[in-house]
Amino acid sequence: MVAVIAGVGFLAVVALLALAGLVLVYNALVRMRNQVRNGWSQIDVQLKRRADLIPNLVSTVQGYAGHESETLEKVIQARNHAGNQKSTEGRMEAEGLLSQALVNLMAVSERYPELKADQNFRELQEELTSTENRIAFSRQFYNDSVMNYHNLRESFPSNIVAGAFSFQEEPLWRLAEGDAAYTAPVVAFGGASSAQRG
Amino acid sequence: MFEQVRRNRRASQGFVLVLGLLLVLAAGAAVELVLPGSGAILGLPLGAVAFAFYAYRARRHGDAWLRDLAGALPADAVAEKTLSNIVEELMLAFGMSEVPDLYVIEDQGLNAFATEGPRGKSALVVTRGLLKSVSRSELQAAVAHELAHIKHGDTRFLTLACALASAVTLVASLGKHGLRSGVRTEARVAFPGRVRGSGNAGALMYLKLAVLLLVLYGASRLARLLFHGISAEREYLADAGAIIATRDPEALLALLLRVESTPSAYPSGLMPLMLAAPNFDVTHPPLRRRIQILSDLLRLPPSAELQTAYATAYRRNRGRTMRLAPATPPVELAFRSPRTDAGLDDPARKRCGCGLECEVMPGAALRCPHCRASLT
Repeated sequence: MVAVIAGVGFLAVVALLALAGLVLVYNALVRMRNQVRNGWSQIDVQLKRRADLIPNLVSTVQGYAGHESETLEKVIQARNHAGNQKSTEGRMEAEGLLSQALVNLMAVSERYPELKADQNFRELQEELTSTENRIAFSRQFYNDSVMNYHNLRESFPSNIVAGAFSFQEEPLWRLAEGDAAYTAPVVAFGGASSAQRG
Repeated sequence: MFEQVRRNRRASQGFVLVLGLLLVLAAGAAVELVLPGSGAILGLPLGAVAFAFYAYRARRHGDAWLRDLAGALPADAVAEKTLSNIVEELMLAFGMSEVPDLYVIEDQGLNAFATEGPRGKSALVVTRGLLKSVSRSELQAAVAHELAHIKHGDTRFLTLACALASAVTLVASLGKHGLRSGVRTEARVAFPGRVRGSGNAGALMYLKLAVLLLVLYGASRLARLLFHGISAEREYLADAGAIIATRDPEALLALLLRVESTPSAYPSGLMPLMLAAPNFDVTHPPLRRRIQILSDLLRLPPSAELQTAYATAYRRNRGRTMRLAPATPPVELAFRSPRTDAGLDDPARKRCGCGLECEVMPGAALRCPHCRASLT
């Protein structure tokens, strides 16, 4: 009799522990997935912020460097192209092209000392720098969140819970080959300089 | 690394208790010396009350008090646009949601610290020199270091600890003052008076006197020394946290090199909170060591670099398995935020004799982080 009670008790304890583990793992998965989604919306906010900056930037540059119309045209085109994308992959690629166009614009503006001295332009430049950083950092945070989520989703024993409640894989935001943020580190030891500044 | 951060949090609680004990002991010793025989019944409870009072006050007002001590004034968000931008950018990198208040010290030195007040309201304090004379990416590195302190929970603890340590100093100096003033005669007379009894008891009395004086005179120094063990490691961790957020160790290295060559002085009560101690201070690991770690880090290929830097930083972990931040896959290390240094003087690029190319701000002297030759 005693043995039966002890056996039932033991099984009950084991079942309770398993249930507690299930709850913990499930909650952790939900928390991480929400963090991933929040990370994604953060990137979106920053990309919109950048798109809003561009008309102002373009009109300021136009005032000093009107005959750089080709570069300016490319920026506007890239911005509109990015705004029209429906799919996530298309959006990522279009935003990469916009980054590239902006880098070109900034490189061109280096040739106009009066433009560089313009207070309005300096402020816009600071805003653009900041926005590019925000995009890079929110992308970094997003990818880190995805990484954490995947680690839990795929490792044992939480993968059983993830599979049972169908926690899906989330896409990492990879950089396109031509993206401005893809440049090599600035420091170079010996040899040719690899200094590239965006 | 994150386990290390958690360990530090536990150590923090212990440290606050040790500071409290020190405060109680100092109060006991002070009272015992001034009014012999009443130290245990009067001094120790008095110390406990003082601890409770100071701990409460430090929690409520310690942050404002420390900012006042530094002479920090609220920053104008419009005028300091770059600073507030950098802070907001880094909030994204750290995944933090509450933006700290910004303060500026009108001082040409290069330093920064963060405080944390009631309900987790944090503040970031930077010197005017930091805003004016370093590049945008270096300012970013400094801010990231301080935000890492906030994220690791160091700031809340250090704000409390700094305020408590000053209470220890206050109680000890009150006791010393009491000894030096009129009450002194009583203490001087009372002790030898009792000592004149039997030999053994007399020796004990002298021992007691020596211990009491040691406690009184050593308490504040001991509190300061204790900071070394508790805060040195946090500096390495905050450096590591800053790099994980910015992925830009070069900027941090450049900043530390600049801080090293810019002498400045701040109230010693603030030192444990500061970004770096330019002159030797027990509360910070030598700047040279932090610089060494960073320049070691930059010479290694990406995948091993953080590993090695941490291994060098956390000597006590040597031999154990190192759990790195899970959020640093190699592909991420290729991520570089575009750094355009808008709105600041453009740094010149100089090539050192050893082949390393560095950024040098106009008018500033910098030593090559690789061979330490001077670049001007």
